Amino acid sequence: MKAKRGAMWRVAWTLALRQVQRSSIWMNLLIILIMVLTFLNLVVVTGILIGLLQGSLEANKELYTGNVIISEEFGSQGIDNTNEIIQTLASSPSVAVYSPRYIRQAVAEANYQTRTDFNEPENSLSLSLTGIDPIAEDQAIALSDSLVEGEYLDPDESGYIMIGSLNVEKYSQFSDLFDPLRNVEAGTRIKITYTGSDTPISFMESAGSFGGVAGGVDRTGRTREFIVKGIIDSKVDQIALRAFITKEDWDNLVTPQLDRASEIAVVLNPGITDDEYANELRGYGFDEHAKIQTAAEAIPNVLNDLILTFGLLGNITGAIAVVVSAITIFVVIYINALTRRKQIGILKGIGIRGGAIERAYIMQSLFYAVVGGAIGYAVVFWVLVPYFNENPIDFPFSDGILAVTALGTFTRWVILVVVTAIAGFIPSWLIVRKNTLDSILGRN
Amino acid sequence: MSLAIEAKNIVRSFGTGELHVTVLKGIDLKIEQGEFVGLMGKSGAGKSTLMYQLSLLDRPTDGTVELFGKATAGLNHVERTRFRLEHLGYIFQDYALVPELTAYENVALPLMMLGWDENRIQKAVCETLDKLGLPEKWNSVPSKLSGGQQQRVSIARAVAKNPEILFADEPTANLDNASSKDVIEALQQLHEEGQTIVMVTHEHDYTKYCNRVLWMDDGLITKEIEPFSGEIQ
Repeated sequence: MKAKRGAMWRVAWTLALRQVQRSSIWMNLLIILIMVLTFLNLVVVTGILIGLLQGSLEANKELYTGNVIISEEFGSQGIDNTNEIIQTLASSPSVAVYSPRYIRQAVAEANYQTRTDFNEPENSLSLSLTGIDPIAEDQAIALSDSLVEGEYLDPDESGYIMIGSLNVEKYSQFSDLFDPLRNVEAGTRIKITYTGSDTPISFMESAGSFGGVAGGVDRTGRTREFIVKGIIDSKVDQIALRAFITKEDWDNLVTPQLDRASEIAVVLNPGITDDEYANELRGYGFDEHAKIQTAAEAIPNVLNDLILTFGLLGNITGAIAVVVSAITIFVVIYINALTRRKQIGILKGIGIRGGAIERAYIMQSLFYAVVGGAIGYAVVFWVLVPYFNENPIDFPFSDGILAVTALGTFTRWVILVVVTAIAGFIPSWLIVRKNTLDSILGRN
Repeated sequence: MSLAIEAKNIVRSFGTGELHVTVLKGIDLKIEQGEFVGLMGKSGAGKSTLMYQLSLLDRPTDGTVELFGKATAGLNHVERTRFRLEHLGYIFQDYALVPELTAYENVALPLMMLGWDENRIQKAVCETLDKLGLPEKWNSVPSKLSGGQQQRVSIARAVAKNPEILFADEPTANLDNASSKDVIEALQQLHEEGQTIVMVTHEHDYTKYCNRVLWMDDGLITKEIEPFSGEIQ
């Protein structure tokens, strides 16, 4: 029986090889193209959906949190032992750079000099006023790279402010949800009023505060005029919703009771993981007064949920692609086998086993799936991944990349091959199992 | 001489009720090894149907077929396929070659199925193609061959494995006179080498080399006629 089985494979190989070799090249190319597109659909759609969110996570890390972020406890007004933490960070060989941020709610008002009708709504909104060391912040999250207008803050200058793009009508995507500042650009003078309410940043941003406090604003606090030096357009909303001034200006406007930072972004040197350093900080007991999170831990839950959702969507889309490809192969093989029904009957008539004929069709299907998958694999890793890394898709909240792994892609390839083999087997089995003489004579 | 084929009371019916048709109505037939038997008759007489029963391509509704003394009624379809592969050769009227395979590969296919090694296959295929006058056509696909050449490849495919019985179903039906004559002479050559042949034909001319010619009418073998004795045109 072993010899017979080997003979069946040999006959099947001969039939399959020659049918592929000597059938229409255009038909072969068309089927392979369908397999390539199916494979790309299977890998790329999921990859882009996941990549979109991975890009967002990367953006969150690179443009906001750094490797580790230390932030005030929910409801508190700053981190109690800010100085102690900063001393520890400054002396730690694991830390490349850190940037404390001092954040309070304030009201920004523009066009107050030209306002002539006090019945009109004033051009103002509530925002997160953030005092920073411009150099440290730039080293930590490359804030200057996010400038879309004007210049970056100079630590030696006073009276200048950088505004996040979501606060400015010209750039805001949420202007239909709240009223951003109108007619503001680099060089515009705006008034910042610190209300003195000391509303913790955790209340403001966890509530998704998109400003909009115009009318009803408590403007009984200290007010100072600033010149807009630049406008920051970050993929991370927490940054794009803030306004930045130097720590010195912040101290002058918001009288510091204690020097309590609202958050500290920490960028690590290579050689230590985010988790390791976060645990080291927790080991010092800093987590008693502050929230210590790695970049991954600081991801909003909604993003994790979105990753799962997008992964599911990608899998559904991929499954549909596989079914479409299976149907395509089924139809191609079925038509091929049906038009060769007489020939299949004759092959059986001269003693060729049905199993050998079925194997020949399975081999043909496998050829299309393997070649199509191989081309698709090469396109993904040699063309699309490098392309998207160089030219990320500009989504509103991240730079979308193609998130694919070799193992995940290979797994999808295997799925495609298996499904295609089944799709090739069923129609050939349907035709081969028909009565030999009926097939030869073309009888139903 | 021993019997190659012994058919007893072969009946073959199709359909049920009003559509019930009996094509073979109880045929008894014996063919000796080495015989060249022609089956003739009008269209619908049952020639091809009888050949399908004798060659195990179909199962009779009633009656038995013994090949070399072996009863075939109990064989399942896999065993029948294997029996056809190992013992029988077929020539179909429309050649029935695999269009993507070369002449060599078409002839080699049943030999591969038999499990022969490559050297044995090569020797058998080349000798057979050479014998049938196709020594330079072994690498041609069927579309590059004339009808006569294709039919000779078909004969080569049937006989390369040295089958005990060769069945030919109107092997000249689609050929011109010259090609038909070539095919009949090729069969005659095989017959001279001892090949048992059963051939269905419409043309009396092509029975020239037959030992016996059986005339069929309405599902029965009604008489034995003389083989053609003139020159094939």
